[in-house]
Amino acid sequence: MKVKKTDGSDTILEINELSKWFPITNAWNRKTGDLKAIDGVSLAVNKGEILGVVGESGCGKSTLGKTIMGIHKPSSGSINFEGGEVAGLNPSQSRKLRKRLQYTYQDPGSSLDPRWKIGRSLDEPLKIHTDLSKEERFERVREILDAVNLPEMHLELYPHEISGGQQRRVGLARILTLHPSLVILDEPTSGLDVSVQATILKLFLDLKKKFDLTYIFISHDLSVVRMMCDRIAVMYLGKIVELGPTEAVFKSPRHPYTQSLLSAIPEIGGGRVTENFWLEGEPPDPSRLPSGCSFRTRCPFQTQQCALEQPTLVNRAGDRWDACIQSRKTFS
Amino acid sequence: MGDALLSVENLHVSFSTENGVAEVLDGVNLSIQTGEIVGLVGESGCGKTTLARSILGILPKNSAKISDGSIVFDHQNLLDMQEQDVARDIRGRLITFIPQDPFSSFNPVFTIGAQIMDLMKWKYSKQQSSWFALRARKAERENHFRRVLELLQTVQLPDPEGILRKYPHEVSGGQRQRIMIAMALLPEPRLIIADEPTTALDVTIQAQILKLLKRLARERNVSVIFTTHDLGAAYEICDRVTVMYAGQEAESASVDKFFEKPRHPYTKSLLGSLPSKSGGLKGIPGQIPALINPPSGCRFHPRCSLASEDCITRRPQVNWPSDDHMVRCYHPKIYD
Repeated sequence: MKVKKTDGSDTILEINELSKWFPITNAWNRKTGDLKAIDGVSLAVNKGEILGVVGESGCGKSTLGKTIMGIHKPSSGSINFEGGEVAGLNPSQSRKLRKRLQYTYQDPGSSLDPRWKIGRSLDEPLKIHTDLSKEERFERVREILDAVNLPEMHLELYPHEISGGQQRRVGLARILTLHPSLVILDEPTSGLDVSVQATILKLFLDLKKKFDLTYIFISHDLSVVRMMCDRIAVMYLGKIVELGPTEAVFKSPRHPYTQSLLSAIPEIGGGRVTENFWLEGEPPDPSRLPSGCSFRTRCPFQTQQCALEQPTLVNRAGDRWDACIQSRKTFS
Repeated sequence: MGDALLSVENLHVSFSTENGVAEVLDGVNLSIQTGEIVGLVGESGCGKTTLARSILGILPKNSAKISDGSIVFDHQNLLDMQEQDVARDIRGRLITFIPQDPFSSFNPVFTIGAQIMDLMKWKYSKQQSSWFALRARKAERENHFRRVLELLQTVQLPDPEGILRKYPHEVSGGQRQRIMIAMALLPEPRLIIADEPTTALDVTIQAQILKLLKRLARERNVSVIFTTHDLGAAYEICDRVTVMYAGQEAESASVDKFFEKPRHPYTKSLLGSLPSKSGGLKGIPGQIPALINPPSGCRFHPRCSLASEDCITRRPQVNWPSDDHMVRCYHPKIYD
């Protein structure tokens, strides 16, 4: 199965049947099985879009981001970025690539060196990736600092001296100095208060326009994703179960998991979610998945067929993809 | 207002830190009726956890100081009571606590069963130290065990007996939180303080836990103070919502009024910063103030678009736009 782009825009990243399995070992360090953190994921990201990757903790969304970035080596599959294969590159090759493909960690506070001043942290990527002189580097840092709305005096501060929202801005500034084309944002707003979150999200949109960026927006916060993303991919236990334009998916979700996930978001002014929430139980242990569809143990619509057949992501209409063998019958 | 189960009045709490004294609570009022679920919302550092901890009497002794105010629970002022009386009769008995992170609240080296049974022993056993009491003790233990199982069933845990034999790391976050709810209900309390109980959980699990908490509180007529920074979660289960800002309460109203007709500019902008379908992204300019040398008057005034002379000099008095709606602002009519 190949997920092709559907409109005329350029594809910046294309991944095909990508898998990352982590070995499970017993007390004697003998391998006893595999944890399929991502399992046969195919995706195409168009230039200039914001693709949301959503799902609950443990569904593999962060592993997906890290595997694309090259932090994890994929077990199988291919990753094609700006026309070149990037899966399984050696460190020096992938270093070149990282200029164009960047990743922000969940918690920028802990990814900044606590003993380095902000200025030095911002300078470091330029030192590694470019041949600019000290003055030119400083000029570039100042430019970016201005773009993320941080005062210049912050260069002289340590990470613990600034607030969480400001740390995020520094994290962003740090990758933007290299002028990347694709940025993977891993839970960029977790742990922020709503009033700060709003300003940070606005900043993402401003920067996207200014630097002509493409985002992969990994988040568990569905209301943020709804507002920010053009398309979303919903993941459950290592697989994409639904993919499509954000509004369409939110309005008429096709996969029963997406339906339950969306119905769990509290909506102020609407009905109370807690009054008619139907999803029972919790996700199964990812190292011992059920046969067939991995959602079937919690799915109210399951049939015998679900246990036998491993559903794949299938194009239903236009841009809509889902991986439920009953999708057509039950929800169209 | 009728007879409140708990009423906190004019509570002032300060912490001494290396840099000076931080006034974390500045004259906070809160009252809660029997069977009511009150949401305490606000951003980090607004003092909601400190308020919850003051009610429980578990503020750090060497740095925190309650300088003024009263906490009246069931006609007794908890601040006047002896510490050991609070520990014996109130905390863990009539007022129980559900923590934010259920994992760090369990002891990792004992099974869950052992920890729940411990609680039962501590709270229920009469002292019996004679040899002849052995049989009685055994009967008592079985009795306790039955009660624990019953309770685990009411919080909808699959296979309660199996779970009692497990260690805390062997159960999932959602299940741990269910166990915590069960433990909070065990002593048949009148008030449960739930401190961000769903923050660490996924959204589908959050919906399950909120549903459970609401149902149990209703069934057992228990009051709940539910602190959260998630306005959506507060909307789901609360009867009344109080919003705090930098150690002062800003507004308090029934849940419908609160979300439909907010009066305080802070509430208004907080609701405005929520991601919405219409795509408004409004954030609040400026930052939450440091609580050492906080802004004078209304602590929100440096970030408020309506701030006037009065706001800077004096703290606004309580305004009652309607019976179940309290707001502390000089401009409460502005949003009519």
